Amino acid sequence: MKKYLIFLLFYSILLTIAWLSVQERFSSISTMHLNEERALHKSILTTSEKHFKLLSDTLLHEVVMTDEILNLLHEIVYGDESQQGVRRGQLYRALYKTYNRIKKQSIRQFHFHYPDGKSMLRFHYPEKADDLLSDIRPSIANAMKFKETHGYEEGRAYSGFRHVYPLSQGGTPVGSVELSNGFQHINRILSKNDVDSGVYRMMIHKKSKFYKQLFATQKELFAESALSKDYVFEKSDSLLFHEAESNIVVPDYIISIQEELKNLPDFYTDFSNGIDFSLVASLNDECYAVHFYNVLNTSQEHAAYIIVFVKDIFLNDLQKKSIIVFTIVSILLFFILLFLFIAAKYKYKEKKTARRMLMISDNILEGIYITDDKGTLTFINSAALNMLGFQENEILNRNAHDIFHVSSGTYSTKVCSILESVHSGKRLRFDEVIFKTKNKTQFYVELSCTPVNKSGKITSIINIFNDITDKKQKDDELINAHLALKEANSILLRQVESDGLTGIANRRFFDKSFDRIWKSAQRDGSSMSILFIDIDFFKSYNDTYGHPKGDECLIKVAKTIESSCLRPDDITARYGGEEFIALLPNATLKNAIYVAERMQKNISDLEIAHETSSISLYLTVSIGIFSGKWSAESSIEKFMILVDKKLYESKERGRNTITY
Amino acid sequence: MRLIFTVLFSLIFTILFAEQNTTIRFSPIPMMPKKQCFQEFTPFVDYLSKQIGQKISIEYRSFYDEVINDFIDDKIDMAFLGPLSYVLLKEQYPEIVPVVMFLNSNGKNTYTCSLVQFGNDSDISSDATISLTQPYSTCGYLMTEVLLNKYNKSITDFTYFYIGNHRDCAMSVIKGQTKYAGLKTSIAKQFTHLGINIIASTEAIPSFILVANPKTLTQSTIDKIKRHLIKLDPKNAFHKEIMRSWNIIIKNGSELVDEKAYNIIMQKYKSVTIPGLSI
Repeated sequence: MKKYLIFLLFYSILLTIAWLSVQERFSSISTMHLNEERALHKSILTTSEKHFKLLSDTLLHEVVMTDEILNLLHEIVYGDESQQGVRRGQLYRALYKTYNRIKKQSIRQFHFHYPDGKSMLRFHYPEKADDLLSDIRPSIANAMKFKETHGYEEGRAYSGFRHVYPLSQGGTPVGSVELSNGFQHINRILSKNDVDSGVYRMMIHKKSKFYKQLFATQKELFAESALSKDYVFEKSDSLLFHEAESNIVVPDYIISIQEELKNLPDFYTDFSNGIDFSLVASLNDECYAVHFYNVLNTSQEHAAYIIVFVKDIFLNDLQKKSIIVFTIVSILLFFILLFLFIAAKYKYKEKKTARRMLMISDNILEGIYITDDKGTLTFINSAALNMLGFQENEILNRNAHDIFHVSSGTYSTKVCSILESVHSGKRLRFDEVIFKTKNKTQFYVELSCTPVNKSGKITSIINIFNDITDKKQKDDELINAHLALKEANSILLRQVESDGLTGIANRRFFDKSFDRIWKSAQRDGSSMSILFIDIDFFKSYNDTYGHPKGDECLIKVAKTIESSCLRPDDITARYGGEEFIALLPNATLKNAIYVAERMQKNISDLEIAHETSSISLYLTVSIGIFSGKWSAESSIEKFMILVDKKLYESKERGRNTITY
Repeated sequence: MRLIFTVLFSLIFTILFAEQNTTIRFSPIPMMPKKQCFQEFTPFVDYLSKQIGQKISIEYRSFYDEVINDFIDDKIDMAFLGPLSYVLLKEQYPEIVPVVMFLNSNGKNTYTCSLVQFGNDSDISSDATISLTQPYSTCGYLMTEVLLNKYNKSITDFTYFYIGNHRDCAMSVIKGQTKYAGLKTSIAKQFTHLGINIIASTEAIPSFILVANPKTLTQSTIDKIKRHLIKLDPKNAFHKEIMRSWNIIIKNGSELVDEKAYNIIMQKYKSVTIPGLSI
């Protein structure tokens, strides 16, 4: 839960930053755009003002500066006072038609003044006259000093853009004349020329000074501005209240925009400064540029604002694009943050696992090291460092093979155990590998190499090893002991199954072997032959030469019998006394006769002297042969009886013979 | 008994409540343009409305006879009339209740009409043009005829025009559109600085009057209106401030109506035949 809150917090912060950035960019571009637009609209207003000044100048020279009018003015100012009213009436009569015409040209005020600054004749409000103006109208005061004034100025009947000209006849001041127009008249002309129908202009007048000067009746022509209670706007474009037939209807959307403007944070700061400024207001998903033009009066004080509302497509598009950019950035940020969040979570898990693994690896006795696929060490645990005698910084990022593997016939750089694992891609286990320590001492280890496969590529090898020097030493000792025991057993066995004097097999071994061969013959039906050998006149030999010579004789005969049986499967044994027996598996009678004859010859060739033999000067042997196959009726005992019988027959036949 | 009491109470409550929620329709004679009329009578009706606790609306009529006819038809509850309009209406609608008559700046309940010209021509020449306000206007045909009679002249000796209001009559003379004009003296005096010369003025005639329609207004309401107007004293600074922006005819206070004073108007009316106007 906490993690998700952190995620949301971060996302909120990033969103805020993104929103502020987008807003900043929107603000920067829109400010530039607004400045250009404001300059454009200002130039339009300025041009219009100049147009009216030109019109006023023309009227002055064409209509007012005529001898008739100037003479009349001279009469009014300096003539018979009792006729002053009539003269003013004549002035009205002379110019009222002109006034009616110029009203159509949007000249609203046509006003003559006395040289002392009082009102002489208001064509726009003829019943009002003789009030002092110069105290509240700097333009009239200027005219008294014979200076022209052009600019915005408040007044008693109205406020407007004034063009006040001093008048004289023959160098004598006869007062001044004013031709003025109100904002609505300028606007009416500008509106006709507006290419963009989304332009709306209005003027708001600062109430404090403006309202004080107005005739009470005229105040009804104004209403409080929606932007500020300190400002009023013309609610009628009529010159005088009693002429006003209908109010100017301010469109609802303009009223709404003004309400929006008041909610903008910068509005009141800019508005109270009395400067030109622009703002952007949104209404019904449309952007409106609102330009405020500071209007200074003839005393160079802030007196009013002309406000131009422009439905701005550029800003509208810019705003829409900004929203789109923000939306895309929001989505991207979400996914990036999500990715980072998951990655961090995974990394934290990995780190936690790694810490756990490190703790485990540092607390186990096995040496562990990890290499990349080239054999470069990337990790090694404490046990491995202890075994190898290195510090971690001495060994990390170096090739394991170069540092502690010992090359041998089996393990070379080319066929390093680690790289072998890389090449095979399989987990390999080596029972005996030689490592060397930092001081070159070699020791045996048991090593297992496990390749780590990521996306089908081996990226690292996890190697675990054990120092098996002690174990190996114990194993060697055990093997040696085992071999010694085996040797002893072998000797003992040989002693049990061999004849103590002659060294060849004894009867016990023969019986055991005969039983085994008999069973084999029973399985495959092969034939076998038995040779029963007896030394002729051996008793007399012993008597003649003594027992030591007799034993020596027995040894020689036994070795000769044994060497006469050439096949490895042939078995020879001392059967008892001076009797020997040879068992020839898979041997026919012919084979047996051939072996028996070779025995007799080889013994004869020994030329063992035997003085007491009645048949030869040298020692001879008698041999009985029985050869046959296994049958159900036959048996070992029967075989032995039959061969014994044959030996007996050989002895009967005079010894040194072979009977079969 | 209880049922009767409940019904009676409900009826009284409904009547009172209904009247309090009914807007009083007030119509001044069109002496001035509509806008000016609204401007100068709105603070007046606002004051009255606040005092009596009932809404009052201004019903502007462009012609005098419209005011009279609508009053008779009960479409108007209260009217501001000139003397001639009043006597003409009373002739046709005797139930009319005069509420107050207004005082001039001198505190008198009279005013005068004047015949004016531009400059100081000595004689009144015939075959000239003359501008008049409206047939029902006291200073219009009626009093101009009375004034001309003093010079042994009659309007019929002139070419006359109904211009509409007093101001326009004055302006027509200044412009030279007509030689003479008949209008209220007080308005004529506003244009003397432009050469308007008052040739002759009438004797004092009863001033403008506020009348009520008893068919549509209760006596109680009429009394309340009367009370709240009579109490205003132009010498009292507070009251003067209340009336500051009211029409010039009504801003100097009022008094109870002296109905007999209007007899002279009836006499004059009966002695003069106003073309196109007959009761």
